[in-house]
Order: sequence, then structure tokens, then C-alpha cells
Amino acid sequence: MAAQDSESAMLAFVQDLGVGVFPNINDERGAIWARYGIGYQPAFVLVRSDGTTETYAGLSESELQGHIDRLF
Amino acid sequence: MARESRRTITPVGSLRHRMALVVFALVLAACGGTSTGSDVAAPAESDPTTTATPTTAAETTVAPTTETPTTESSLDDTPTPTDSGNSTSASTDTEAPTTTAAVATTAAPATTAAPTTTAAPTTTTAAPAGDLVNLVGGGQLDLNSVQGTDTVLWFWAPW
Repeated sequence: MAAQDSESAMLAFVQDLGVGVFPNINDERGAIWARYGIGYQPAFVLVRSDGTTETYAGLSESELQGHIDRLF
Repeated sequence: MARESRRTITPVGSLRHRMALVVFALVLAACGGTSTGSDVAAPAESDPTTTATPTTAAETTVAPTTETPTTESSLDDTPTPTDSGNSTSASTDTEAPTTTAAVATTAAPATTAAPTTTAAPTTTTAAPAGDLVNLVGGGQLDLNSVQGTDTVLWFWAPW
């Protein structure tokens, strides 16, 4: 969920880090950020199938994996 | 014989004569005639009284008959039915409007019920409003397509 910059910068970022294996949304206007109450980055929102959510900020790769395993 | 007959006849004749007079007077009195003698006068006077009584009695009897206006009593009875008839008609009149009012009220809601159906489409129209978002590098994604599945949203910025 990219925001706070131009689309070209977003695209360069995706290509540089090689994270284009999953969809990256161009939320240039920050509408979705606002919907989940996100005002900082990096941030993670884990949405369960029942619609309930958990929000985390600044997670390491292992921490993120731990939450994913626990929740899903 | 003639003397004897005279003698006997005279007193007898006078007696008969008197008796006949009395009878005649009585007959006259009975028929309402005028009195001829003083003896006759008395019964004659009493007769009118007696006659008067029956007359009055007759009058009295007649009076009730006339008042009989028993018809009046029957009139009294008649008015009662008439009144009841009026009251019945009155009540019928009162009931009639009530029923008509009820029907009118029932008719109104029926018409009002229709608009409720119109509300349904509005709800249906709301559903299709998809959350189409742009993807980095081109393309679009409908956020509704991931609804009901476990999803991780990563919020990042290129700087």
C-alpha cells in the first residue's frame, strides 16, 4: 500500500526491492491509509476472513511471520 | 142486577179506571211522555232521573269509547315502534359511515405499502459500488475480491 510519493518513485521502489510478486496498491491520495487509521510507515494491518483486524508498526521479518502464523 | 152491577161497577170501574190511569201514566213515563196526573208526575220525574243515569252511564261508556282513543294508547304504542324504527335507522346510519371509514383506512395503507417495495432496489444499487483501486505499474484491483479472506496489508512509502 504505497503512498506519500509519485507513482514513478513507487514503481522504482517495487522494482528495486523485488516486491512485485504481490499486488502493490497506489494509494497516492492516502484514502486507504486513512480508512485504517495509518499515519506512519512501515505499518501492517492483518485482516482476518471475518473482517477483524490487528495493526502493527515497524515489524521485523520474523515478527511479521510470527503474527501471520498466530492469526491465520 | 143493574143496581148491583152499577154499585159493583162503579167502585170497580173507578178502581180499574185508576189502575188504568196509573198504568197509562207508567207507560207514558216509560216512554218519556209528559205527566198527566200528580201520581204520574212523581214516577215521571223519577224516571227521567233513572233515564238520566243510564244516559250518563251510556255517556260515560261512550266517553271512554271516544277517549278510547284507545287509539291514543295504541298511538302511544305506535310512536314507540316508530321511535325504535327511527332509532334503528339512526343507528344503522351511524354504523354505515363507520364501516365506510374503516374501508377507507384499509385502502390507504394498501397504497402506502407499495412504496416499501421501491426501497429494495436502493439497497441493491448500493452493493455494486466496488472498491476499485489502482496498482503500482498499472492495472486495477477490486478490494471486494479479497473480502472474506485472510489478508496482510503493508503500508509503505518509497522514501
